[in-house]
Amino acid sequence: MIYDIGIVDTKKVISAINEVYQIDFSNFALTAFKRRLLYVLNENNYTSIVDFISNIENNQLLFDQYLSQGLIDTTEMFRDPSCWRDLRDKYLKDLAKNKELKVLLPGVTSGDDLYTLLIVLKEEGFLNDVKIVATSLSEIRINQILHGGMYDQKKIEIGEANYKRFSDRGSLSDYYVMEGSKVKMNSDLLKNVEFKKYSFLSDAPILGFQLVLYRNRLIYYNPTQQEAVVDKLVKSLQVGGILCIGSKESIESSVSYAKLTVLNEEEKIYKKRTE
Amino acid sequence: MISYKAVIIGGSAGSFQVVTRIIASLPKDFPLPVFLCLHRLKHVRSGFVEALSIKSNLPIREPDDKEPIKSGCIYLAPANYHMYVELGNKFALSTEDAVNHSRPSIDLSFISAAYNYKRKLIGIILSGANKDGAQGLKKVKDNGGLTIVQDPAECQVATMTNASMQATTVDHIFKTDEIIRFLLKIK
Repeated sequence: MIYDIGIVDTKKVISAINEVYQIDFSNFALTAFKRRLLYVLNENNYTSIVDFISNIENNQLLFDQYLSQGLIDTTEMFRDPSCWRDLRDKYLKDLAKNKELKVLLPGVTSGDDLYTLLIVLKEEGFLNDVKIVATSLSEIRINQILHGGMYDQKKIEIGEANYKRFSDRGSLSDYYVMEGSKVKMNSDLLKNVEFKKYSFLSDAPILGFQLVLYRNRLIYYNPTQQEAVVDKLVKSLQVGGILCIGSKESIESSVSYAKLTVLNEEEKIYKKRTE
Repeated sequence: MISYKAVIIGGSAGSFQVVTRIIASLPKDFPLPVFLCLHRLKHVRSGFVEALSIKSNLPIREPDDKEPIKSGCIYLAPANYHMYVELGNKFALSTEDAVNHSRPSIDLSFISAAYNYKRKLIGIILSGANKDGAQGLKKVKDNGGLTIVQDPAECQVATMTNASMQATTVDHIFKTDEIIRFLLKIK
């Protein structure tokens, strides 16, 4: 068991990954990154950081596995039910007036927000008229979501409680089946979702969306990277499109913030008003 | 006396009144930032700051991610996020898994604060029915900071303070009044 990891060792891991796989973690928020690295090391029974580095340098399969373990979950379906209610009641109908509603979810990990959105769209009758692009750094994570998430029951209990605060129309259990001890989301929800392996850090922005959901992802970057990411998020939106971030995330100091109007300060929902 | 840079307080069941008394006693010119990591309902985002603010002379905030830390301000870990002290004197928030069934986790807040402030940190664990905070207080001690637990005899629930005293040799076991007197001596 490794109990702590210093900055020097953390930086060694970051530069090894950057050199071999061209994925740059140097602008990630340090505390969470270190904690996650420690989790991956211990989960795989490493006792030395040197062994870990040498394994990721020489074995892409191992690296992919560690990358998927290292990405932090958004943790809950229907997290912040009031935010989802606001999106549903105030903005979704207008957005759905577009012939094909285009939605971008960058950086999905466990797929909670993706499945939440799909359920909301289905309940509102918009599921057939959308085109959703979900991106992730990790193919393993993409495959997990494609196979229905296979979530722990405990996670779904939290999602179920959140759902009840969101709506009294149905139940989260309308949208999944049990497979062994795991929860498998209904695959028909995914029919209009396209998954892309994509890095927000280095790849060019994808354009033309009416809704961009990026909740509780900015918190894992340092302010420099946040600035660049917010710029890309805003670029991805059409004028009139909506951006939603996490309830305690702040983008006011970003240059691109000037292109947005606040729709809901509390739930962090913004509208793009100009290119 | 060492010139401390921050105070961090962790508490759970039975700690609300103690925290309220402590922050009510801090003067307008209290020289340090105070971090509160208290177990709370994760789906209730508002109301807690307002309740704590009623008797406080100092501003109380639930920090946004990457918000700069200011002296003389009290910061409450927001609902359903872990709150870290990040390098560069700012906060960082996280949605990582619950630790000790808790998000915010007292351990995680204390560990990050201990790492950043080392011996210039005062860590205080109050009443609680969970062992969250014990490993965090140990980290404060291991980094040379000052450790205080509320006297278990005075705690409504002493699980948290007892676990902390098992995890490390704490510097002081104080009743609420003594915690207040100690904090008022900080210049």
